[in-house]
Amino acid sequence: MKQMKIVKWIALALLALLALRLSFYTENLSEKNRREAMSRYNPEELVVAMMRDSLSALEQRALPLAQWQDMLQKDPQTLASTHARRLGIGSPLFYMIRAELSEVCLVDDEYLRAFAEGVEIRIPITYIFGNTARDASGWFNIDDFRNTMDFNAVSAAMNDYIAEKMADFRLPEQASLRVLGAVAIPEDAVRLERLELIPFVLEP
Amino acid sequence: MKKILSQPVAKPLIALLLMCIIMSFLSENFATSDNFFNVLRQTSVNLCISVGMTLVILTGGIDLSVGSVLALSGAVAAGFAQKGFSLESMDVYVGFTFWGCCLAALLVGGALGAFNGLMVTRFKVPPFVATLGVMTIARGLTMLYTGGFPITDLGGGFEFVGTGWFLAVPMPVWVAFVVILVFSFFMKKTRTGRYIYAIGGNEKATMLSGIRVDRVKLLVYTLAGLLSAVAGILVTARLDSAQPNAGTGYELDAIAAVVIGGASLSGGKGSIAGTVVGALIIGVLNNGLVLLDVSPFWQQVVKGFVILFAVILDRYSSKH
Amino acid sequence: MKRLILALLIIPLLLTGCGGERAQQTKSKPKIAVVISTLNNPWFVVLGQAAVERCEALGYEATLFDSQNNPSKEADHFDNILASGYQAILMNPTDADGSAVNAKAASRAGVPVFCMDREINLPGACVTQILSDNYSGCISLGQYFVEVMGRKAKYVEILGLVGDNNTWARSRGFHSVVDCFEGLEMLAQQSADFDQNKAMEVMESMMQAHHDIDAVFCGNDAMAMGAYQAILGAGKAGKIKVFGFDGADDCVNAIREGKVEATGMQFPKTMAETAATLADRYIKGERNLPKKMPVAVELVHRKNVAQYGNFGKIQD
Repeated sequence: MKQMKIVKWIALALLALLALRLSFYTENLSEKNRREAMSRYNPEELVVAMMRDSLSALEQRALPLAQWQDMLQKDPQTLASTHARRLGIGSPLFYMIRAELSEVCLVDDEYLRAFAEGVEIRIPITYIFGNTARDASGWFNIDDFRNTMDFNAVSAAMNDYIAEKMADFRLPEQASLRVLGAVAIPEDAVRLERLELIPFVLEP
Repeated sequence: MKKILSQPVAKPLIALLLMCIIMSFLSENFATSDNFFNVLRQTSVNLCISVGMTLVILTGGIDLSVGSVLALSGAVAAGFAQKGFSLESMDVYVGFTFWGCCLAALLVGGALGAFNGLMVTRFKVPPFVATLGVMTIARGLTMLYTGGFPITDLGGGFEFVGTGWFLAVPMPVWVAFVVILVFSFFMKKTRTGRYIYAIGGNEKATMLSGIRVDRVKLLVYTLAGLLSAVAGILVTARLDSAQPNAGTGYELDAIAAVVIGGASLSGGKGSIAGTVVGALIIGVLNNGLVLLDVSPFWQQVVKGFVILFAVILDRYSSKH
Repeated sequence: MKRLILALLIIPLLLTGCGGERAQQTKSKPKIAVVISTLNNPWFVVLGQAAVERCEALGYEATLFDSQNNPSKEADHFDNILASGYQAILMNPTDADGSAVNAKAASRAGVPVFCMDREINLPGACVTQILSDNYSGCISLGQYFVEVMGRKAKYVEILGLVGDNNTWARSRGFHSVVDCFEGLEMLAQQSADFDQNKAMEVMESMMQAHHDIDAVFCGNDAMAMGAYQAILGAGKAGKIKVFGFDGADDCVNAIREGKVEATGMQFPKTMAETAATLADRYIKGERNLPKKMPVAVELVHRKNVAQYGNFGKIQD
């Protein structure tokens, strides 16, 4: 009887050990870390690549400010259908615009202000928020991203990139600049008094 | 024929049959093989919990913590699937396999069940109160463990158990089936099974005849915890994620299944077969009411009435 | 015992013999299922009802299902829907990952799924996802917050349900703007589970603990209204500015009356109607539908509140 009991206990112990062994697996930690780093989402890389390779093409596509203003007042529908980008329903209209500005002043260390074509232009250089830069550039398609937060991470990366690029910006003596930037306007806007331009290129 | 009808599970079984027949006339979508497996799959979680609840109720106790234990063990299974340990000094990562996660979940469920048992046997806390306490504790632990968020991205083993099929039967149904077989055998053919009935029938007499009542009760609550863990694994597998609010209210469906199946809440009377029929009745009811497009609020009312009706019928017929 | 097992096995076999593999298509109208995460919140009730109305206007029979914020319940609904011959499912997911399994099961069974308002992290499972970008909406709200409060102020935040994706999308969007300004200090952050009553109590406690609160940002409009009640009760109406999110009617009216500063209007009716229309187009054979369709969240504040109401823009 006692032998039966001992055999039973040994069998149980072996079973328990087997269960324990079957319950985990091991792999190289460095391997795993490397594999995860490769598959991790990196929006900053995407942004840097586009800014490096596609900026000049964007500049060529952009509308001069005067022409844009003109078309907006005379024929907004054609302007929208030929040059605007949208993101879904209820979206504002996004445009890429280039302009030559004079008598630019720096306000509060946060944005540049100038007047052109009868409109006040504001160019934020310290605090840049929102999806205007991403959506006006047309470089990124929402369908290519797993979810909205990943897509928004691109905006954040773009805004950070631009803010960093503008961190060393100093207003030149003549206070005149050439700018390539992104704007967002409501769908039914015809005449604007103020325009916010997110700068992609800002040069004296 | 008389022998079949005299068995206590006959009444709920006839009720189930009648319900199925009525439902198939009321809704053309009820009597299809797709829907049949739906009902079985949806009932499989309740079946696991109810079997455990049957054991507890047979001893004259009750277990309100099953839903929360389900959630915690499901969360632990998911947590272990998602993250293992890293030992940087040896450059090794220890991950858990599907079985490892199940083992972890079962350990958690069993531990909580044993805790319930300890409260009831050692500290003489009434089962209602003890399991109520554990219900709250386990829910809190689940919230702490998950941080309030679902744990996701669990891998193939879970996906197969949750949504896979084997021999044309869904996996969760197989799990429930095995549980039912094992425990039917346990209750009918082992000594401990008979002790459980004895305790429910007359605890004092059982104790006086030398049976270790406390030991059996501890076992019963631990088994209930283990079965809640099994159910927790099923739920996590089904959704490929562990939800912090999983299992809320499941204890009521389990108790309902046991009671409709003919068990007495004071213990000693009842069977696994009866519980199975009871769970199926609730499953068919849930499924049927949805197919008939009955508002979810009315569904609650109907379910409550069915439970009351079943118990009254049972009391009435046992008096004769 | 053996006879009972036999009996249990025979019933289903008899029944499946009568029923057949899948429910035959009925002679009556084609059906669309609308599965909403919870009908306990008026915003979602509007979403669901607008979807049902548009489906019925397009000639379908639409049924509303309530997932009670529980992916398990949602899974059960999907099981029943797939067994009942619905042509399409308009779904408001309970959880970005937990609901993915359900959508996958539906698309495997050949029933197209259209997601409304929230997304699931499995792009292939839905035909189209009609989304409301809570994160970007709260960025606009955050920018307005900075404009109104200035660069130096103290505020508290009341979060929604901790386990809800939207709660964190909104909070993170808000903080991504406001945290850039060191003068804007968050004194406390508590959750009130998107509930008006709970928010009132939380706000009262926070006002007890901090006597210098200038503003409160609430994760949804119900909580904003609750917070306002608390502020009114403490006699500080007008001293503490309230910001909400959602575009609920009572909050928009409160903005009109100057009680609340701003909210983000999400367009449940637009989303629901778009989903229904897309489902109809898919059922009629069109396959080239966009995978994602964002619906912009618009900032509603004192100056433009006249345009908004009834969960959308007034001219709708």
